[in-house]
Amino acid sequence: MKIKTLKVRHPGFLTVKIVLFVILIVYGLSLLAPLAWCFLTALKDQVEFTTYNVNGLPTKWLFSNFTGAFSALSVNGTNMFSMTVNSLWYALGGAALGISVSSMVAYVVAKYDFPGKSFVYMLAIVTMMIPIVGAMPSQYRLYRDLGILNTPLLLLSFAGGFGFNFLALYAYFKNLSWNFAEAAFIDGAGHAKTFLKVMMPQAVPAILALLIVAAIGLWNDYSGPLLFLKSYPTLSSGLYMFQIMTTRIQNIPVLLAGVLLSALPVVALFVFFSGKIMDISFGGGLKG
Amino acid sequence: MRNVNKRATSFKRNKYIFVYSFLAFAVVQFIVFYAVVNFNSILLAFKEYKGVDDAYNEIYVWSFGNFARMFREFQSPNSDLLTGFLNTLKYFGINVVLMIPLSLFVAYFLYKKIAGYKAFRVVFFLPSIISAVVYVTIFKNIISTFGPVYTIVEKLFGYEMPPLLNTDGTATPTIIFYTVWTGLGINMILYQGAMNRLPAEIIEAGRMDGITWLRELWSVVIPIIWPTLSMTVIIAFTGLFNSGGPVLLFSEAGSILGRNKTMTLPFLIYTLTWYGKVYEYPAAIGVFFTLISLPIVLGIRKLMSKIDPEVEY
Repeated sequence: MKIKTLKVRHPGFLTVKIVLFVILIVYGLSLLAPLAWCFLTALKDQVEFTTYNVNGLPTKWLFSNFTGAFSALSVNGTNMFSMTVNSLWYALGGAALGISVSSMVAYVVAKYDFPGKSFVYMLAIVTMMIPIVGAMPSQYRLYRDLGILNTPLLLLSFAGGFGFNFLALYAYFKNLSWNFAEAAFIDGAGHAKTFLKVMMPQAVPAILALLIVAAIGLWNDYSGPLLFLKSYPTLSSGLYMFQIMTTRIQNIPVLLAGVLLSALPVVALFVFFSGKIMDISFGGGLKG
Repeated sequence: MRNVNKRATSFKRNKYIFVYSFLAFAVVQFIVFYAVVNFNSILLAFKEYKGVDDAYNEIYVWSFGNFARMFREFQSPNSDLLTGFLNTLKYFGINVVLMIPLSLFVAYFLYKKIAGYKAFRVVFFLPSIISAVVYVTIFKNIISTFGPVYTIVEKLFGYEMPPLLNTDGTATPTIIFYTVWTGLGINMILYQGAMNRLPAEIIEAGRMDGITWLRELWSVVIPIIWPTLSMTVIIAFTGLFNSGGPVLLFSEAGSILGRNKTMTLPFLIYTLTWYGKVYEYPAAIGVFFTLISLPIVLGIRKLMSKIDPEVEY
């Protein structure tokens, strides 16, 4: 029931609100304007952009820059098309592995009693608290020794079960009713079948949302692929490498077109799931 | 009866098989990718490379050499280590002193449903979701000489902007500006999420008493959302020596990484690993700063829980 409340304003609040509104508009525009400028520049001809038209509308709208980017932006023989493929397996594979393992661990810790249960939970909490600085040298050596450096097997490093995803899913499973599982057990279903057929379907919305957030994080990750996947440049690491390896970039509009294209899938996901993504990332946790 | 008992025993046995088989992979993964990695960091930190033997096997000896080198570099005013350390403190300080309060302030007004608050929420969060590679590439082009900001400033004020990223004095402040500019969204959403769960009666009661908005923010909102606020402060302190902007993305083609005094601690460790010649020295830097930050993080946790006003509602 919604209770109707009397609206009493704070003294002087309106003035502050108006001033802040103006500031926030300016700040918001400062975040959007660069994207708009980038889009318009991406449609220009290189000569036009460098000689006389930095800020105006393009005289000729060259949508071909966007298609051209796929072949023009290439690093060590990997063009933007291959980078997209690399980004896809890196982001989706890494996210799927991480979420699968986390949900398995979270499920058993939340729903079963077994020796070592509290130790597993403590381990997850404590490792998140330890402020580790610079594990990269050791990671590099280990990945090299394991033979997963510079191979898609590197995704195994994301298949951890004890991080943020574990805590989020643990809380989620904890709140799920155990009645359905008990009914399934009475009907003769085993533990694995109950997990897959009865409990997991109820967690699909939460798992999907976590998957999206994790995949976006990996899609945007440039430092990992730059260091550990040198032969498989993703869109993020590849487009950076292109800029660092080309001493004089011949065509900035094409580069900006490619850069914008690389953000397109993320922006599309954000448009459809913005509320969910913001809730999950940092807001009130998971809601079914 | 015996059958039921048998079924119960087998169900229990299957339960343990199920539980431990579900945990097995995660535990092995954790041991390899967390425990071994971090233990190996400590081992690397105390090893020193001494060349190769006749069979071209690398020779390492146990030593404090990496730490000795670190302390030597600390004393040299132009070393990457000292610059990196000081810059990292700057990024951290700006985060705690400016970004956290600023996002809290903005979150409060979004919570108060300032006109357009829904759109603001999405726009401010946008840089957190779009790759830094995208935003930095655009940002670099925008502030470049003859770029849009340069031409507008020149037209309006007749002032020729210096190349901000190519000067020692302005490079790091420019990257810090970028970090603040694009980095308000995350904490803002977090605080706003906590504020949305505030009980309406408490807010209403304050308003009926005629308190100012500043008083409401300070004495009502902040104490109630304290668990969230203290969590973000603890996270900031946990990342103390990992603080830094996307310095790598700001480096230019053909230039030395971290030039113009833009080095940060995490970036120094990253570049040393990237060049791939020595792993022992960067590992020692990492281990040293992990050790220093441990008591700091534990201390701040204790402090935060002490301040906790234990709100009941």
